[in-house]
Amino acid sequence: MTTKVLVIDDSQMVRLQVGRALSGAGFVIIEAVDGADAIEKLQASPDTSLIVCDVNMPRMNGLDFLEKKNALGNTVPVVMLTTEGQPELIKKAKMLGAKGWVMKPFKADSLVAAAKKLTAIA
Amino acid sequence: MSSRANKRISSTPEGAFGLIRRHVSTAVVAVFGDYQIEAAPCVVEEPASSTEDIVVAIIGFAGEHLRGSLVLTARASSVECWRGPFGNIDASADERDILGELANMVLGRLKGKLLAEGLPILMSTPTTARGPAVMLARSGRPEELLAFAGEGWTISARIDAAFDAAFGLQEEPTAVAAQAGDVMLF
Repeated sequence: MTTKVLVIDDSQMVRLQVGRALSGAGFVIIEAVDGADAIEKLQASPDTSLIVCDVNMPRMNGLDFLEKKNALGNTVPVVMLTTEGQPELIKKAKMLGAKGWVMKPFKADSLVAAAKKLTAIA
Repeated sequence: MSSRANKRISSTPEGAFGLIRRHVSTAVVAVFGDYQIEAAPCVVEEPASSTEDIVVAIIGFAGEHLRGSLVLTARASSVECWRGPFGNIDASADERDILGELANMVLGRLKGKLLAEGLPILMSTPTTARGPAVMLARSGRPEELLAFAGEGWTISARIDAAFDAAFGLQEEPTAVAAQAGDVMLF
């Protein structure tokens, strides 16, 4: 059984970094370039198990994505992956249901550990 | 130096600009360091005429009575040097994307440092460009050009910032931001 992770970031470099880290641990990666694209990808892949989401993105940012996702009744866990470390933003993401916050640049093994924990893969 | 001393120095626009400049300089070296790339400040040189493409990434920022931008500039061949250390980034990520994300990480660090100094800012998403003869126009604001070099590459970072007359730091720094590499699960 595959465990799908949706990686949302406007930077192709970050999508590659995250994709490489997680696919190396057995996850299957889907990519989206911003929140709006992610909503479409999520609807096309309802079996997604985890979302890794940037905060600062054009068109629809990460926090707006969380709101939209909640409005759609989607309960897939989300980890924010960002250069933003403001406690206010972290608090807001938490209130919107985010399950984690990872600061860039990230360590691959830390991200994999978080992904495994949130998808309950031993 | 204590944060209280920093606050005193930076409570004027000139002091705050110096603080921003120092944090940018530290952040550039630190971000490269996170990828095990050695980077050191170097002398800013006039760009020699070249047919090689120049890559530019710009991020604007704004705070209360403050606005400015960070502009990173590097030759395309310099950006190529970072593909390996950044995680064997293949050609699907072009040089603009790489420099844009680098700018994002540098400004993210600056934002965290300034928050702790009582100067919260918001930042835009990066705007990037690439071309053979890119020349930066003057910002019209106080600005400073910093340069950094590593093995086979150089990068310049221009920081500019303007302060309204009413500019001042918050009496007490509001909070401490999360740091690069931090992981929090809720």
